[in-house]
Amino acid sequence: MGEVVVITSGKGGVGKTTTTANIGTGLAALGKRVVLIDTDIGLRNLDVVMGLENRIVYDLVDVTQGHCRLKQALIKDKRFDGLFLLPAAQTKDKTAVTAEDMKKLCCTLKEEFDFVLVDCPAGIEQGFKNAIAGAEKALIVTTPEVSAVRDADRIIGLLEANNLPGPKLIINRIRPDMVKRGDMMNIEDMIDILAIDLIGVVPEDEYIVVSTNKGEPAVLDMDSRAGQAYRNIAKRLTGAEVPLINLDYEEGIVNKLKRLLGFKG
Amino acid sequence: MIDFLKSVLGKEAPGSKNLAKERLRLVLVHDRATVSPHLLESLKEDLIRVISNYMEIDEKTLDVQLNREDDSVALVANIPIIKMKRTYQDAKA
Amino acid sequence: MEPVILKGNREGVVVHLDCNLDFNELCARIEAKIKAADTFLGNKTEVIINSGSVAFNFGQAQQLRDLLDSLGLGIKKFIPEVNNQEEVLKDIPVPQVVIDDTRFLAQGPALIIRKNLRSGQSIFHDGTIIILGDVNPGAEVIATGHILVIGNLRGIAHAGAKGDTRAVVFASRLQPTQLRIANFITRAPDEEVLVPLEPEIARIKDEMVVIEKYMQK
Repeated sequence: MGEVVVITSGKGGVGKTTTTANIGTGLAALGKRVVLIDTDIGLRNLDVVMGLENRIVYDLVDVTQGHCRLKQALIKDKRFDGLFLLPAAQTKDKTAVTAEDMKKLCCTLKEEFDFVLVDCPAGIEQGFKNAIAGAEKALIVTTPEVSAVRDADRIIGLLEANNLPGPKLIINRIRPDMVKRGDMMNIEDMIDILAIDLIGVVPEDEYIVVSTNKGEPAVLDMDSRAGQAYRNIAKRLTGAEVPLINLDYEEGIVNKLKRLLGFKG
Repeated sequence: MIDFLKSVLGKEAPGSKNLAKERLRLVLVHDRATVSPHLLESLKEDLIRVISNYMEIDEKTLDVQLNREDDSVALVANIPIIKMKRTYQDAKA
Repeated sequence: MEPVILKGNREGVVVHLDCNLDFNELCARIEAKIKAADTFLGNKTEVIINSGSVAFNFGQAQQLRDLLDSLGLGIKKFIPEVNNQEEVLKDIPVPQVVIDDTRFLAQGPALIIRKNLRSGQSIFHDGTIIILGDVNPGAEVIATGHILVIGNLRGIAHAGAKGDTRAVVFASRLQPTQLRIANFITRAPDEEVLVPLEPEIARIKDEMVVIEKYMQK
């Protein structure tokens, strides 16, 4: 019996979909059986980030309305045999899916998969309610910005009210150089304010843009710093203890000089 | 220019993160207070229970609210007293 | 009846036209008539064009304006009003061109769409769909007959949606996310492919979807 994890944020554009794609792929790379559900009906994107957009025949709405069998709508990933995507509908009415539908769907899927990851739409409307309906765990994605953290706080409150306590926080797109300058909130600041557990910190990484362009999640790139962070989050989700990566990679100017002058290997 | 010098000299380099944190703290006090409308009601009941140990108050005209200003949030309670109790009951007694 | 009649009324000078005549012929007659009435019409007079039950289209109206302008006159208004909407369609030869080709034998009435279809938009038609515009990724076009896109087809196209394997998909630039004909499905290759430089047509051949250049015979 697997577990159903919803990835949510309240605010749009903080990286929910990228996070879902990368954690899902990361879990599959660890040998887990994973299904990703895109619940952003009308604005689907997870298919593009995964590079699976040209394989879609049936979607979430087709499944909930009984136009096809669940198996027919699951798209197998190009890279991993144990990874599947259930895409959102793009052209259908977004009221077509209910919270009850999602509950049933998640129940069925977790029988067969180790992880059911639900990519939640932005906002706190019906789409959000649907996405969390079948979830047992929640990951909250935020960025070190006042607006994103505020929305994350709202979401935490709503999750508690919906009997989904103990969400874990992912801080996305952090820039160590700015944190160092005191121009960006640091990890402690955000944990202090939101008072929830941290499951990962993902540094800002240009490679994310490249990976989205290619439809290849960054988690598969061993050189990508964001990819490393996502690999760690995937491991933590399986219960492994992995220390936070050291974000302080920018060399101090003194060290740089020392090295240039040959004082330090 | 002066700002630049200050930051080079490292004297007064607050950065914007503390500002962000402070603004966020305030905004969340607002948000969380509005998220739970039951909060004031249950706070009111608790207040009445505690204060009644010491004095007789007019429960009907009792008024508790959060006053929001730009840079602070205050709990304001207006509690008309009818009579002071001569001896108060120890809550634990 | 005289094809061009000049009449004066309270609103000014009205030019009554008989639109049974060919438009170019009519223009010649107008020119002759106005030149003859030169002294009667003052310079820069704004006339009213009354074409009876036929409305001029935008192009014809412009031609008339130019003509009268060259004769030192202006046009106050058209009765009935100029039809601005339908003229584009008449000038587009696409439907005629394709009907010549046996590959485009009509299957029921065609639906003609003159706009770009964007992500999230979906068109279904029981018959052939002709799109004069692009079909973007995320948009879908479903027809029980053929699908002809005079533009870029980048979204999903499903021709012969009720099982007709004779249906074809034509596009000026055929690069769909996914192409379906009857019960056959193909998708874009995962590697990057070159943009097709000329119109292509997809159809079923030997139980397979094949794509070929439209121009090859």
